[in-house]
Amino acid sequence: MLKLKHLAALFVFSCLPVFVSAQMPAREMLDNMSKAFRELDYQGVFTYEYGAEMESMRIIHAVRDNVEIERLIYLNGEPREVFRSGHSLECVHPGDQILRLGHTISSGPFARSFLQSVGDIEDYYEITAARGKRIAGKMTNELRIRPKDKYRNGFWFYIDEDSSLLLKSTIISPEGRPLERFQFASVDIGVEINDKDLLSNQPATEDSHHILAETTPAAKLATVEGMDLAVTWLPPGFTIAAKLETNDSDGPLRLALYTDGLASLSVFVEQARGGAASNMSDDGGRARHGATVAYTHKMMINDKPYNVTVVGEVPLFTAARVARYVVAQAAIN
Amino acid sequence: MSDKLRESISALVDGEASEMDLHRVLKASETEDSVRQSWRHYQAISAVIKNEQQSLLQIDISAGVKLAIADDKKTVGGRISEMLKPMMSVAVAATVTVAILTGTQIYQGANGVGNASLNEVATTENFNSSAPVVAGQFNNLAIQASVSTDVYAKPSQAQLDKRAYADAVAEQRLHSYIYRHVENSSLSTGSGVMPFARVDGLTEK
Repeated sequence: MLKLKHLAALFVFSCLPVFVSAQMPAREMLDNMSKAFRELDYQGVFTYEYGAEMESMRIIHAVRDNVEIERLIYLNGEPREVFRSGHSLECVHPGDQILRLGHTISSGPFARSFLQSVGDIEDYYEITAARGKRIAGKMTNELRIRPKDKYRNGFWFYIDEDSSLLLKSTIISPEGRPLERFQFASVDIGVEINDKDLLSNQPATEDSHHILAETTPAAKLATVEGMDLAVTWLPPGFTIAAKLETNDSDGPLRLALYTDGLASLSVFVEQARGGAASNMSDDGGRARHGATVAYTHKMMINDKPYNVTVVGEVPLFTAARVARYVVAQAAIN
Repeated sequence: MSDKLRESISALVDGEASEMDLHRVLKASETEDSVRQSWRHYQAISAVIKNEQQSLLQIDISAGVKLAIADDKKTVGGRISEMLKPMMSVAVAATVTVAILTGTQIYQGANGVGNASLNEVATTENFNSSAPVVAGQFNNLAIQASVSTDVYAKPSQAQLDKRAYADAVAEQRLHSYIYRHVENSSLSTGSGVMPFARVDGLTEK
């Protein structure tokens, strides 16, 4: 936990919000949006809608000593919240890199090798800007982001004209159906946030980890049963952003996260439990929740049944395709 | 079949079942074939009443639901600890602390197993009813009713069971993996902790 007393009243901003007037190019808006989320101090209440459901949440975000502190407080149902601290602004992840113009922010050798392998977001999406409507009392610019292929969803972003903070976002299916929507009802941007608001009064169970994938562009996911597992197909522009192995009570779980800067998908590989694999249709199983889908199917690795599951904010078709292109091959080393 | 059981099935079809109803129906379905039949009949009636284009007439999800419940019982208690279990990362660049804080044990409290299971029923139903393959199957039935030639190969009940079962597994995987997916993607797609909102709808009920 961050020692707030040492950091009290420190406002070390490496990047102050870029205040802009009139219409700036769409690509630049996206760039500024990706920075604003992390670099600004803001607090507000937003709603999250999916299907016929709606949740409300309060978000508090501050940067102290160049490090982010975030709280997401659920306002419906039982009291609970997500608390995150310790993420340095200098730590720029692959998704951010793709969104940022000219990839100017470097974070060491990782970034350099990453940039060689990834193109620009505009290779995969068509981005148009227009004057947006008023959201949470603020004038916005509207970004319509349409996928150039059938492998990803579209996005409608409403971005605060002054601060570039994202105030409303809708994810649209390739068929043009809204899948989920985030929207601020009210938000204060750039106001001083009290230290006490950055502390949770809930009992905490904590975990510390920060996952950043190695630079290896190779699609090797893991070694299972003496075989190398590889993801041999991803939609163009998707790159690995995180990779890890955990040990659950049910055995080891391997996962990797891939992103194109806007959408992300995770591939999970886990030994099949009980009769799960044999009772499943060969066609696999599908589930959807808002913009998030899951596709799972069984895969035999050295005669042992495994479940390969893809979870992500992509069309089901894409999730299924990625899962089906996970292959096992004889380990090289 | 007892009237009580019949009432429970009816309540389940109408989406008004209590936890007790759900357990009664699932338990009876293990031994009584008539339960499955009644389920389909009530679904058909319900579909006619609602004038639906698609129905779950051919889908028996009880196996999937039982799986979900069994799995829920197994994981519900340990869900938080499982989520927060230290992970071995390939490369550790810095330390970010993420914590889920709860005033009460929502994952295993009064809203736990029963409601979560009901929710799974509802979600699985919704998904199935919009899945192209189910729609195709229903159209196929309509074709058979009016034309004697069976144009398409009709999936067997066993195949449909396997499909429903696979969807239930996918639903269950989505529940147990969403936290890890969101945790990584929130760091990677530049939208702060907002993607954590997606976890809520999946774990609260």
